[in-house]
Amino acid sequence: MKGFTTNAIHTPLSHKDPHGTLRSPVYDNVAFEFETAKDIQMAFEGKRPGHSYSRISNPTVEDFENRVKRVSGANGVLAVSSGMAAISNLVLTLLKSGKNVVTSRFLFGNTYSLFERTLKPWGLEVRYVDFEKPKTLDESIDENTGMVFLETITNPQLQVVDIGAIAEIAHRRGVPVVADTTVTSLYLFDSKKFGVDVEVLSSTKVISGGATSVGGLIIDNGIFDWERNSKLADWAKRYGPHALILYLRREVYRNIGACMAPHHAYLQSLGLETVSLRVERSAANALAIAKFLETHSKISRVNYPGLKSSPWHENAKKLFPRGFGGILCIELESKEKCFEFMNKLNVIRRATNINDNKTLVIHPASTIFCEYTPEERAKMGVPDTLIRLSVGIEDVEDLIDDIEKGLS
Amino acid sequence: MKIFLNGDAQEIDRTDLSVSDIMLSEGVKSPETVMVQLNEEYLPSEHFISKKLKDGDSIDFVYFMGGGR
Repeated sequence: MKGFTTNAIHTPLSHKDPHGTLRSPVYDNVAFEFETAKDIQMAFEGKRPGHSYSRISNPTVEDFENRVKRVSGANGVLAVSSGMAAISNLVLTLLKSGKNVVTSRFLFGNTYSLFERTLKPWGLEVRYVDFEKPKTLDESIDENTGMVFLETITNPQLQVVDIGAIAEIAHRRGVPVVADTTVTSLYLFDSKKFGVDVEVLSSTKVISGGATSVGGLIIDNGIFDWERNSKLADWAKRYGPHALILYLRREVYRNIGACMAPHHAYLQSLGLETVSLRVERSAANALAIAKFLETHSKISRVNYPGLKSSPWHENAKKLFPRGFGGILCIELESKEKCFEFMNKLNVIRRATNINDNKTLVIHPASTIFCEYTPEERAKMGVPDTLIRLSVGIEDVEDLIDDIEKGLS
Repeated sequence: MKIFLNGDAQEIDRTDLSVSDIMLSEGVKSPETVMVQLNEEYLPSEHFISKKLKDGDSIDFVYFMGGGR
């Protein structure tokens, strides 16, 4: 198997292009024509190859999915309209009323809101455990548990848990592990190696080439036997290891309609080709900034998994041998000091996103987590004194200079 | 013998026909692009050559209509 970037660049097109193009054209259309009525019937039944309607499948999106499959070595890939669409489609596929998801309170704010506010009224139970205490995980799983859900690096707490140990417990209990790998998108983390069954991620971030377009991915590693999931058991008999992706394509994803736009798929295929270069640069910049900040007198705390001072550094070294990502957090004296610092920055932009090419700064408590009470935020590890930096690929000297001026 | 291919009945004058043979005769150029169901159950690709069809078998080729197969 060739390397990540070679595969990203050289994945062949599904069909030979009449003009010999090296890159998939943007099929920015909706409908596809068939020669005969029988042909269209067979296409709808899945008994002959062919796209019928772009909400269900599209050649440009197909090309992007094939590239992601090639670089990740996965069993199946589905591209969707956003990272949140990936999570919601998957939850609606694997779970139903009366089932539960076991997860941590250290979740992306919108994921927490999806579980607590959107899906709880539909009968989903959410069980929060401390993933650093494997016994609590084991005790929380029962016959109604449909998935264990975790983030590879939690955002903004930057916790890194022993994913291999969690997968071992979940698999022993017959439950799949779903990991949101947005922060470590494809290049930094080999999810299959550590027992993750399904990845969900926002390809809006690094994969899009630096915030060019919104998108999401569901990646089935082909490890989990879907006959063990009550909703997928019949599908698994008929479709084997392809049951999850087919059930999504033929029912949940098709009916929800959160498809990736062809133009976005084109941009994200372009972005995928340079993921390794940008991720390595951003991680190197983040480490240099974290080391600089660790010695600064005005900073109460620097949190970055690449620092030895991080309580999760050993886990991070094991899971992410290619680098520790581009997100770091700092704590100042107060919310006011945080705002003052942010307002003084000139190179670093005040915006909500991660893994952009630009370095971005945000105060999570007053933005991404603003819908929660201070008590809820405390449980979620998001204090008022916290600032998140998503480090981009600029020249690191300019970033350090900007931060230094902001703190002066 | 009589088999059902994608729901259509077909008379076959051979008895040693494999799944692989049927794929070839149906013009399936690349086996990795199609999933096979035998009597409505998934048939892993490693059995395409060894699995022989018998009278009354139902075989379906299923395409994903999308990428990332």
